[in-house]
Amino acid sequence: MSAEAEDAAQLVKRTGWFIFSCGCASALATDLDIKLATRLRTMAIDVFDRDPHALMLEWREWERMALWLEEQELRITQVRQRAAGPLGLFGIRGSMLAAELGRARMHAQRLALLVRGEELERLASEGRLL
Amino acid sequence: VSAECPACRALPEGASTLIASLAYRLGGATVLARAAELPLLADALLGLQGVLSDLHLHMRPSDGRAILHALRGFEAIFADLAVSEFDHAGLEDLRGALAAAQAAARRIADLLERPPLFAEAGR
Repeated sequence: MSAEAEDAAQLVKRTGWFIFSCGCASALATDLDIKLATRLRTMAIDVFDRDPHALMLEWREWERMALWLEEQELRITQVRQRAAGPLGLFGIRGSMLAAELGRARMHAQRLALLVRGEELERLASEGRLL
Repeated sequence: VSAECPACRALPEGASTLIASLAYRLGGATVLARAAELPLLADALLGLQGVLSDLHLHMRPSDGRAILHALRGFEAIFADLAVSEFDHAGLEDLRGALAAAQAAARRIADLLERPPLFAEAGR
């Protein structure tokens, strides 16, 4: 496999896990009856709907998604901590949801790095880097 | 399908979106299987997602059928469990999630098996 195809394989694989994590988080959010579920589903399917190649998503877009996921993770954690009891308001499902949002965020961050790395490499090869 | 994208070059139009949908459905079913205390089913679904991620680049028609076959196998095991001592309300959601994953897998298999000429005419 060429280096180019290997990079593409990495991106595809990572994107698959990102979408899987969104599915996990969405199922947990549905169970907890919070709006997050719909947004997660839209985000996961949008990744491919907007551009069927996903690989062409800019690193900034992945970073934006990672930031949004981090915000949600924080929100869930804060709500859980404000409520009484060792597991807070959402119970064990809330803790699982925060963990799953964290996993999706990690995939998005890695995807941003991968795409950014490729972009920098391309700019360097074209002599467009200072 | 972009000619510049080595990952998607071999896939028919629409396959990527369906694969995304299947990955998402598998995620939902995995969580529901865990909640229903069916760890083996959850692990199997997790494994299937791993296979899907690996295959995506060079997915062949037989791979689409293999995924569908695996999901049908899970459903058969699940149907046995559902009538046993595991039966409770959460299993209905899991049944729905497995059916949705199967529907996505079936559409992928159909799309990959469609003759190229037919696919071209449909564009």
